Amino acid sequence: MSVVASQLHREDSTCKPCRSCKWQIPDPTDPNSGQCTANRTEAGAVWKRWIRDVMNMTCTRHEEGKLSFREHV
Amino acid sequence: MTTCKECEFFFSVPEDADDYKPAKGDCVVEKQDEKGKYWLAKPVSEKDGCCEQYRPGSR
Amino acid sequence: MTTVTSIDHKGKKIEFFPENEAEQDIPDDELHEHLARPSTERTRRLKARCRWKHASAGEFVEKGVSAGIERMRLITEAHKANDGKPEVIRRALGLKHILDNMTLVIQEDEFIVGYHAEDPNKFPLYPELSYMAVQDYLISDYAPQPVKEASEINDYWKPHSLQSKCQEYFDPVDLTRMYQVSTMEGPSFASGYNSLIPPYETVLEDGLLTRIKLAEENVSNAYKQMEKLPWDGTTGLEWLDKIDNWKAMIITCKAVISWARRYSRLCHIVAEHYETDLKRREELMEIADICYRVPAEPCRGLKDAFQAKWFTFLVCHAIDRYASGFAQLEDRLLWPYYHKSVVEKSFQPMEFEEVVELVEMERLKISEHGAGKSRAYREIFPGSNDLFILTLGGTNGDGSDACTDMTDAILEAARNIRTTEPSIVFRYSSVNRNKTLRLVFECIRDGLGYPSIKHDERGVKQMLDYGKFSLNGNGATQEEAHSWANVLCMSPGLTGRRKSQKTRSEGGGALFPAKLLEIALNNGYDWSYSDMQLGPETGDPRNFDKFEDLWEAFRKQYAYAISLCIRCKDVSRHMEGKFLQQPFVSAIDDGCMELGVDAVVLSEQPNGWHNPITSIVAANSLVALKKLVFEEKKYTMDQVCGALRANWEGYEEMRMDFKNAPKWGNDDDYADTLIKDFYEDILGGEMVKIRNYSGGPVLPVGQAVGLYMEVGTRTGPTPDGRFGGEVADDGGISPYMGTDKKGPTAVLKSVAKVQDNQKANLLNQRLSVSMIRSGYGFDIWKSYMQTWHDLNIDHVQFNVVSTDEMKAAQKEPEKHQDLIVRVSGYSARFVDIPTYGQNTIIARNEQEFSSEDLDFLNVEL
Repeated sequence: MSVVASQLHREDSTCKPCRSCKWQIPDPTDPNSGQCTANRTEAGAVWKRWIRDVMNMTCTRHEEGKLSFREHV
Repeated sequence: MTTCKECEFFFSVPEDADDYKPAKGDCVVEKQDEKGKYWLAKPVSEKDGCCEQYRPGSR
Repeated sequence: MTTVTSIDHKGKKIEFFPENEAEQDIPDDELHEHLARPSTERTRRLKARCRWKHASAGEFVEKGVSAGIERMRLITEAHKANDGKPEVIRRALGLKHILDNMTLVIQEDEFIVGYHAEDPNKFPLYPELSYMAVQDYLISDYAPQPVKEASEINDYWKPHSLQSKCQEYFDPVDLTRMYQVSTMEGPSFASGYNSLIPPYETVLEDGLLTRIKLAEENVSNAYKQMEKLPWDGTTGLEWLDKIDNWKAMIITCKAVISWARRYSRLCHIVAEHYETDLKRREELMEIADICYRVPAEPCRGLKDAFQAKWFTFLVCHAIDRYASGFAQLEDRLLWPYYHKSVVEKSFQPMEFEEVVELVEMERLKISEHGAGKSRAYREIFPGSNDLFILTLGGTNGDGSDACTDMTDAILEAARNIRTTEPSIVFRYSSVNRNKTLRLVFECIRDGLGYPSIKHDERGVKQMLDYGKFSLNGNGATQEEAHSWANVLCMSPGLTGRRKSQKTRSEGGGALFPAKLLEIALNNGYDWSYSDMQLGPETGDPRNFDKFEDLWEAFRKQYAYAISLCIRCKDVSRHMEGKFLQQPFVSAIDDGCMELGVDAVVLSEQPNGWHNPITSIVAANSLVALKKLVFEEKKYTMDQVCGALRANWEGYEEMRMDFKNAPKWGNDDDYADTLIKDFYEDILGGEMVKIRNYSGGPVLPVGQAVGLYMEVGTRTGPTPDGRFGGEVADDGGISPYMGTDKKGPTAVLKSVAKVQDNQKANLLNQRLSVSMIRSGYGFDIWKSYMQTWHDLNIDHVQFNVVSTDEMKAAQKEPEKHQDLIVRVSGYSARFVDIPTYGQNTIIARNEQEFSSEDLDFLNVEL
């Protein structure tokens, strides 16, 4: 299957892992996984995507940083 | 070496205490931050080497 | 309050002016900032400097909060040092090592003393429970220092942890499904989350020295029994485990006494060497005296009782192991000591006002109690530090009113000090006295969101029903059944000297019908969040010819999830009984003491439950599908699947049809008949088939906490017209926000239809501020409560807060620190909740009572 760069995809040892992305917060249970919160609807909803492996997945929306609790869920 | 016994914050555990042991004491320090004052106590031995909070003044 | 509502009722115009005339000059958008009135200067100071530890979206709201390393270091030292000893003795020595060596904390102004970490800004961690929870802290801003040492400790515990011991017995795919918390809450063994009701009564009534004596006598008797001739190995060997358990109880009780007396000594030292204020010096000497006597000896007065209770709480909930909750029937527990101190004035004499101050101080103490809970639980109660919830009111064993002046003092303090914790549950009965009901009302009117109200008689009956399944034939008696309190937000459980819940495996944990329906509409596959198969293959929905096919597909997804959840809890309990015994809890439980069995192992009163959350999104979706696809045949399942996959984009007209289909909460028989079946036949019907560790059935407790937000973000679009990522329903049986359009009594009529196979269901209602704060407010509320009671509804809780004030707080949070809202099952400071969650509370309908509503409630104005 082809990789769509703008969508979450596997990239082993990427220098822009989801772990360091401001849209990511860790998985509720397993810190090796995560939750992507980049998908925010016009109505203000946050539609999350599960990140299976936060060190080896990425996408073109990667931005270093951390959002405040107020901008997450 | 300077030891806890010589520190102002060292208080010997009385012999009638449940946790009495020879040379055992409480290290009691006063702290203050933006939320106010508080005191911490932890068990030490009078023979322990002193720490960065050491203040001369054995009791 | 500048807004005044009016209605025409029985031929006259009723205007709702504030009961307190002074409020007429307070702008609507800052009302809550004018309601706090701490009863003394001391509690005003304590509140101003309170070290809140609220968490939201996994993060701590206050700066400077972090995990401490001390507890994890000490438990590890003890575990290594005691290798080879019987496990229960090893656990006891672990607690002893922590208590003997942990740092003590005393803060200025406080009267109730005791803390569970090495600094008042820290909280402890529990690597023996879940290594993943600790791993998460290690990569967070709140990591224990030094991180390297903490990491090594966690590595040591990995093979020994409860999580590792339990994981062995599950398919890794099942665990991956659970850990992501989308169709099911993660198992407690992977989060370390727990809840219990400590038998405080034995500590307060007997004191620990008496408990030690009992255990010593039991050990002595056991040896004698073993020495009897002739030896009988079929029974004689049972004494071995009992002896170990009793010995472990003795070790822990002695350790707790010694720890409390270290506090006594610290108070002396601070008084004599640090404190300059003479009055405070005297007070510190008084605290020193109390901590020397309790919990070693029986409590003699109210100050003793508050302190002994706090020490017991810390050991059971935070030091021995982590457990959420503050479960107790507090007014009944403290009443004998109130009587001694206030009525008889025989020991620690005081007036009612001083009791109120003590309660305010306890509330502030719990408000700054930090919980080292896993990320999942730092997400799902946004704005809280933990689910600290106590229970009041109800009836005595003979059916008489159980409200006392202690009840009133607790309510008055809660109203005065305005803290989000602990939340309060009030057991409502028709016999409750008016004076106390007025205080319950005032707390609600002032927007605290608590007390939440539970139906007293339903709770009593439930305890008796569960008791019939007791494995040792010792379930709740009629008298004991009246001593129930909520274990956490919603579920009743016994309090008292024995038979209370000791571990989460009995009740707690959730599964999510909205997400389960989403995957049932995709043959068990989750395309919208995890991109994996989350449940069994239950068929291509495009091939469903009749509604029953869909109904049964959902049932299969649900049945798979609920059995897996309960299996996890029972496996966890089995392992806890082997490696995570709780000898101190055993020591203070009369059943464990009598039988020589560990508290985790012994089950006398079954109380199994699990929480379906997001049920109304699923139920409304089923109603819409039944109507529009299977009955009216306006759309096909193929079209539905396509529209959902497109998140309704390009299908707006179709979405509006689904959105406008009949919805729960409007007393609409089309919707309500199906939804009643959904609750009773599937949600309850599938659960009740299960038997758990304790031998009783498992029943549903619908309660959303903050999971309605979390799961909403992990759930794609649903056939109720909801878009992907939008919030789910915020109660357990509450209408979806904004869809209850027929007024507050129509909601009650809908909810009352669901009765069978339910343990509890949370009903969230938001009431008109101007009506409730008016001179008519109490009468309306009382009539509402009596109607609610007579309809046999389990629960209700209220928000009384204006949209204007919430929106003002969004703009200028620093000016609205005292604005409290009811989220679901707990209250939070509005400014501590993420914007996403804040918007969900604003979106709830502010229900106004129409003339028809008032007629139905039979209220005279």
